[in-house]
Amino acid sequence: MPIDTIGEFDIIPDSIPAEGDVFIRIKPIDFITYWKRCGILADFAASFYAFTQDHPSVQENIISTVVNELIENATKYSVKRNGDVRIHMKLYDTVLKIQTENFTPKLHYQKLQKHLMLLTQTDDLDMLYINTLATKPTDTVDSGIGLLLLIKDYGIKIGAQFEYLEDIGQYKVTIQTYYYIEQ
Amino acid sequence: MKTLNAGESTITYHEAESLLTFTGSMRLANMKEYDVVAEFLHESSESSKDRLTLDLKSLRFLNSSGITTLSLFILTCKKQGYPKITVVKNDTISWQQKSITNFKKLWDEVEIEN
Repeated sequence: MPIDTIGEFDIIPDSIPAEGDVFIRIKPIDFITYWKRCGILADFAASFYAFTQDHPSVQENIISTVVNELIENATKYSVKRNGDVRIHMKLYDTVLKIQTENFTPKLHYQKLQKHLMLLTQTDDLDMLYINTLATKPTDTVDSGIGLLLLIKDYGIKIGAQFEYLEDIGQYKVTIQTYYYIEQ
Repeated sequence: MKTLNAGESTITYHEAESLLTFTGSMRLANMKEYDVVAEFLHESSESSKDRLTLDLKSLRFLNSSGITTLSLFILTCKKQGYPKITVVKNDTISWQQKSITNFKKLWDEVEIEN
């Protein structure tokens, strides 16, 4: 299957040298067993980058919020509990590139692809927020607004890439976000 | 005074003041886990039918499932016409500064105070 790319993917490609490269590989089961670990890891990432900024407490709360949403999403969509969730964080001057990778079955891939297409193509994010909540099925466990809020409220640039891996029968999902650190 | 502990956070309902105070960090795993929060909000609204204040000033984090839970509660209040909602926010906490104004987009009678 060809690789399917959506949104602002690789606007800063990995070939450009970053000011550091933090890579964390973890199993979904680690988060599922103790959900608090999502927040702990997000807080670590936030502390790691925020203390060098002009307004560390402001940046810490933003970065933790962004990383937490990405980790939560990657975990929820990883059905195989022994699969990997990979988190790459690279700082390029005032842009923090956060990339998550996880592996998901076809059903989740299709759902996420449709959701991301909508997010990256809509002209009115406020209306999408209102409509998402107003039409939300009562029996769903997903918030449906995590990535939407990152784009709408935090100005995050987002892109995604999906690749079918025949040997494991799963889709590799790569989500890239770019946070332009407020000065 | 009634209290609900939800993960790393606490919600306290002060009935005499029609006030709900949120403290800590609320990052439950999904909407199902927020059912207890939704139920607590609903019960509180039944005894504060005029106006209910949600004081979020000390809530350091609220994930998207939590924001959805509060948003759906506000939509329910809008639909039934009561209680009117006041949200107290803390602009030194970034998620509050960025996302709480969304509640007014759901119901223009929501009041937001600092």
